[in-house]
Amino acid sequence: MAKTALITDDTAFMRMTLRNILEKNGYKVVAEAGDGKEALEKYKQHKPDLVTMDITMPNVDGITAIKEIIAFDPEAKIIVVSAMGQKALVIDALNAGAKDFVVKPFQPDRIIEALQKLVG
Amino acid sequence: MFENNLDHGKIDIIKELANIGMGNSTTALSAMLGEQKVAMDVPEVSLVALQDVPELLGGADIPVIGTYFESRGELRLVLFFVMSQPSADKVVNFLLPKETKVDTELYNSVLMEAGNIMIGAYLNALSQLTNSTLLSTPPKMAADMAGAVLGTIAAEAMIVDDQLILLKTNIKVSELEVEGSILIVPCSGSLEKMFSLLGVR
Amino acid sequence: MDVLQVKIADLQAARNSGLLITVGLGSCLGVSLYDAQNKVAGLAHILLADSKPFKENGRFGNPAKFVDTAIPLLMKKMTALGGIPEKFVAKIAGGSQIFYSANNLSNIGEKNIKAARKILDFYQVPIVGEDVGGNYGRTMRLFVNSGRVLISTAGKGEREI
Ligand SMILES: [Mg+2]
Repeated sequence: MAKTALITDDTAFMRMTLRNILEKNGYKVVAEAGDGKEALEKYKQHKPDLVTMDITMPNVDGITAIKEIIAFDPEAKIIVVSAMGQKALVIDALNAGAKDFVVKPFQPDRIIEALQKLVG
Repeated sequence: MFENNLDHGKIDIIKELANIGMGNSTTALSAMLGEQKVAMDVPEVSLVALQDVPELLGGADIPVIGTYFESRGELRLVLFFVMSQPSADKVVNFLLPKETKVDTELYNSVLMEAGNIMIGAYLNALSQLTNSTLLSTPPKMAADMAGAVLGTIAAEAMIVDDQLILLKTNIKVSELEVEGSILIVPCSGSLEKMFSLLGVR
Repeated sequence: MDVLQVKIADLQAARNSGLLITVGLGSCLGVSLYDAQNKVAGLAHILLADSKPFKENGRFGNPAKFVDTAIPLLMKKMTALGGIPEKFVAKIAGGSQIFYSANNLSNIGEKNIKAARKILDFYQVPIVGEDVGGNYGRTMRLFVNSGRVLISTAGKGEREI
């Protein structure tokens, strides 16, 4: 069965870009979220195998969303995909429970590499 | 021309920081555009009357399209990435896969994400240089007269100083015939804060 | 014809003839005042609704930036040119929301409009024309000899208010 994914980003363009990469690599994108609040709701609903998480988003930011998803499911596999690559943020995200951190702009290979490391 | 506390040494520091930050932004833009060459002018630092800010984009009636961000971390900055409509069209066309059906939401989201990545790259560099964390707000976008856009940004960011220090850098992607500018305004007190983070007196 | 440009956070008054123009009102509000009997006209391009938060921290500066300080200053300038406040009528334009975002849209334009209504009401200046709100920028022209106000928007042409 195909692995499932939830994509979280506030811009439709980035959600589309990530969806294309994931689908080409055999993932089934079961939901998209435009902010951290939606991400938690969709995670609870779909329990996806993988989550991509943006940081700069309206309402609830990505770091907060990671904490909330991990509190709900400590096994959640979350990859941050963000334009903000600052050291303190990477540390915050990893401490919150994210498994990898991809800085935008990225080559599709970089996402695939992160997936393989994480889900195989 | 500048306030007493902004001597030439400090202006040089601001310019150099802008140079490094913008270098990071243009590298990010180049990566987004499939490694096309993105040229960048030397950043200009100027003291401008609030009333005259639209002149920097050629006048209040010039149509522009741009994305606007605020950094609300340890330094408060207003950042604006602006282009002409034809340049924006070319960027959007290039970034979307061929035969994508483009509606307004998608068009806007391409520009907002491109701006997000460029501004993010700028803040990442500045964060490293000042050893501070600089978060940005989610993007906002407008396509209108320069005067309307810049006036609205000033109101949104509550920039009410009659004189402001403004950093401007022009960029150019020759292959794609795209030109744009990044405008950055450090809000009241942020330059002092930045110098203290850098240990400059 | 003498043309007076009213910039962002600026106000100008004139008598008898000429044109007052302000280009590119987004969330900013254009307030025109006119005394038809004495042919005294004034136009302001205002940034924000309320000066009070800025008065407290000493960053107040130019009063033309705020609705509550720009309108009385404009009235004063017009009075100095021979205008009579009891004769003033107002036309307002702008206060739009030109920024698009995923959400969290601001209501700065709306606040400006509301504040102007309140201040003009306080000074008993009736609003006799308006073109406010929406999601596009405006340019406002005020003819000093007639008090006519024309509003133009790219792609939407010109209209009189
Ligand atoms: Mg984002």
